[in-house]
Amino acid sequence: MAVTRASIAATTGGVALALLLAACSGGAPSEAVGTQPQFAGLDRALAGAVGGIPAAARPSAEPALVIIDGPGAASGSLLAVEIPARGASARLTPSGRNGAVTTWRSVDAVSLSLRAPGVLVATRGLGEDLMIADANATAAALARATPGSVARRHRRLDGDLALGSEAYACSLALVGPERIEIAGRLRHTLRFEERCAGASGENGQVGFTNLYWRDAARPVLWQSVQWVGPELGHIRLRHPGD
Amino acid sequence: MRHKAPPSPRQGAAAEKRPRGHGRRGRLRGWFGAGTLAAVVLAATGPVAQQAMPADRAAPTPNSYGMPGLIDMPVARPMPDGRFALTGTALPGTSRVTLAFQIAPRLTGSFRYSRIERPRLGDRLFDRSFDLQFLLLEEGPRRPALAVGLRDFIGTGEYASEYLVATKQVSPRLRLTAGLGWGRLAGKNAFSNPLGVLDDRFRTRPGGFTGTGGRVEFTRFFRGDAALFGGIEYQANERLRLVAEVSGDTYRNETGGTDPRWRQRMPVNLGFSYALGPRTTLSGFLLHGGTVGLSAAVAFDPGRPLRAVRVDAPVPVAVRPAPAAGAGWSTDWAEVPSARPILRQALAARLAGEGLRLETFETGSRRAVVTYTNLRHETPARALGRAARVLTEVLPHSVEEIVLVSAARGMPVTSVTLRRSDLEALEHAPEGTEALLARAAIADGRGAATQAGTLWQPHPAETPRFGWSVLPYVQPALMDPSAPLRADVGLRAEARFALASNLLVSGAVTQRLAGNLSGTTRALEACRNDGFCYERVRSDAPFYSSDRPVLERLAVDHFSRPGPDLFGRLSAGWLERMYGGVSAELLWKPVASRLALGVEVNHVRRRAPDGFASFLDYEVTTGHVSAYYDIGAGYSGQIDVGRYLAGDVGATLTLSREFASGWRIGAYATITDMPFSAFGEGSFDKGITITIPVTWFDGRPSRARNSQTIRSLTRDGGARLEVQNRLHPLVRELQRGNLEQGWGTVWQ
Repeated sequence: MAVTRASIAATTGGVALALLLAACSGGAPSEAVGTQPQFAGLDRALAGAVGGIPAAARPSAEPALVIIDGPGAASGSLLAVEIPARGASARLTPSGRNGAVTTWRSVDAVSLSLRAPGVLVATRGLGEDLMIADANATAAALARATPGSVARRHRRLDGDLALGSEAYACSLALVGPERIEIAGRLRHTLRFEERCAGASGENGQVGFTNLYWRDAARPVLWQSVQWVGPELGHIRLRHPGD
Repeated sequence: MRHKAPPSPRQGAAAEKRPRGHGRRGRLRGWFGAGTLAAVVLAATGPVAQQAMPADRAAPTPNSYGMPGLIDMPVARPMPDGRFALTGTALPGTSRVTLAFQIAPRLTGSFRYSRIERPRLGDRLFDRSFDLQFLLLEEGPRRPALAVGLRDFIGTGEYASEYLVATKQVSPRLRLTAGLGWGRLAGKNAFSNPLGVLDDRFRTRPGGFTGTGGRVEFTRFFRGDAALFGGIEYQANERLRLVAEVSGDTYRNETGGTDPRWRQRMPVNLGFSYALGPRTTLSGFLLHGGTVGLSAAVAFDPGRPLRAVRVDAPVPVAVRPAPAAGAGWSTDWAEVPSARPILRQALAARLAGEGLRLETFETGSRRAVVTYTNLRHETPARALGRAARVLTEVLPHSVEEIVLVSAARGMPVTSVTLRRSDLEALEHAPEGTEALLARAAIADGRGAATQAGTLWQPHPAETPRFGWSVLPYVQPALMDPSAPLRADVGLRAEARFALASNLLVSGAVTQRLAGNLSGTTRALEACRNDGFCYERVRSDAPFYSSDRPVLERLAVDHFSRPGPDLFGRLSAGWLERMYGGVSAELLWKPVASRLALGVEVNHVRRRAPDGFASFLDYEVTTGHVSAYYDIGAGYSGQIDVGRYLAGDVGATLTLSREFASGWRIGAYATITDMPFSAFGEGSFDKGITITIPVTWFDGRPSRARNSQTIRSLTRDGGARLEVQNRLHPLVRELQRGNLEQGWGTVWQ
């Protein structure tokens, strides 16, 4: 709540700032519109509403993830995603495969990239995206079903557009066998828990835990809870499995 | 109703008797002497170790003057580098709005606009002032931080004061500050200036200001009596901070001796500040035991957007099957005549989906060259990354080399050559961003596109030539001495037609709906001692405000690449609200060069204020030779030498700082051969420009930015033509430096 209030206050401040600037402008008449490129205004949404800009050229409004009906939606070639931080869930379809990494995409242009057997390595279209994670060790350990220490690195953009890098030391532990129901079918899985600790930074030590339900026999995931970043927290995934 | 003809000069009106509160002429004052800022900025860009501290807890709270401080007194603490802090303060009879900016890690500057009732002098003042504070010593384990500051250091100086201040954090909750102040800060308990031991001249403080004001009053600094000040800050909890201070600021003019709101009952000021959030603070204080004040502050860090930009996921790289698989790797397609038009059509549609406009497309069996214009993305790197991925989807397998040429107004600016197999290999590589840059070849776009040198760049068939919009507008005005805020609001209709990609006709018509710009006080005519008066090239601006439809602009612009590293522009028509004519510009800017050189020549006639498209007699040739230099770390400089609109000859120096997020702040000063006395109040033209990206606030990808200039009263000296589409910003944005600065977004 505090965050919301602060951002409202800050937005108000922005308006005040604009007013201050306005109050102080002594420019020639043509200056008041600003120095944006001549036609940027035309391409902006408001103009699009009355002008002749093709719909495809307009940025879409904030993505509202498609809500799916209940559990078990993951079947065949769909990946079901729940993002508690956004109160949203969606069904994603594969949109690309590059080596061991498959990219899944929602109809409203959110995408997740998962490294086989299903470890999240990138998000797009969410805002505070995970640009890329080096989670090769986790993926390999899950594929082999061998617990142990794994190193991770997450890279994210900061407000100055610099691509930062955070290293995490993680331990992947086998919690035990667990039977879960997916799309009405019982699956025998091994539940893994990956506990990660980051280096101590400005905000103290950052840590997170990921959960994976791996098929007991094959290197595929049925279900997982994986961490995206401090703003979005964890997302829940139901993997297609087959 | 509204002024159709120039009203009589304001002096006459000022002599009338007016009720208290309407007061006499306000004073508008100027800013930095040219070059002063340059020296300070360069000296202050050294790193400060504190930068890495968590910004919100460690950041100082603005005082009632909007600078880091206690209540009225300063503290020796800078804000986080690059921060903007906007503070509004209300006191009985006085209000202030201050925009402070952390110019460099050690240097804080601010611009302030105040309304001051002065019962002692029986008037009300609308006053502008500028402050600078420089951190001399960082805080150490034992020693305090030490800073020197100038408050209201230009011109007439209602708040004029200088200080040395030391601040020490003595415990996690407690901070102590002590300082020595001169000028207004030595309002009571003052003693003879200790600097008097160096030179007797320090003992007396000269009053008044030089000539027509607006100059830095060096001879006043640290002169006259001095007094001590100090205070305690106690951090009661996460949000609440309590402050007590001993202040030398007695508000002598504001109190007038009789105003009961200003009775001095206590030797200390008491206050609190409460953090509403990480960016906002509310403060209340009691001055001298009898006067209550309130202030609110909001901080903006360009590197911390209100919302993270949320941009639609890109199409992923389409990875080709191994060549051994055979299928699709043949180059036979290149011989099929219909192949290229089909590819082009598919490419244009997919690029449009990514906010890019396809300009030209040439492909052989191994290499493709694609020219595109970025319509959506804030960084050229993101546009490039999107274009590259679309190409992996569309191009036949055999095409390995991808040349992406970014264009502006039909001019190919920068080419980036990528290997398709690199895109495939690096898409999900942890170091894929850095590796892609290392493997990219960045060059002048003119060499890549075969049509680049031609004067006619055909408009792409897939995109409409015509575009239009009707939007509301607000046109704020200079601060009128009798009304600080003037503005017109209305509707602006814009339209454009592209005869070719590089030949554009565009125009705008406005209809005012409401406003009071035309009542703005007109500056005095600029006349020399010998009786010669300059044309009112800008001071007549208020009369160009009208209730009838106004043709703001109607012009044709042509853009070209006359040679390697060269860019050209020709414009003709009604170029801006006050002038029409022709304008020609040539810019030399190599793709990876920090230095750029340009020349612009305009021949214009002044437009009639009341006619839709008609002109007046005044005709002038104006133009500049410009040098632009990228200093690094976001700082840049520009010098323009030439002839200004009133025929005066001189130079403009501009220094700017730009953040990767798109925030930009600049300061400029123009000195011409127009005598200071003729220029009038402020002596010469100077000001600040601030540019704020819309994306920073709403998180939607967009290239829209808002820009404002804060300058001393608009006058006729050092005035420039406001021609659109100047080349340097268009070109620089797409070249190597800016491309690399935002390279982190290439895979976004």
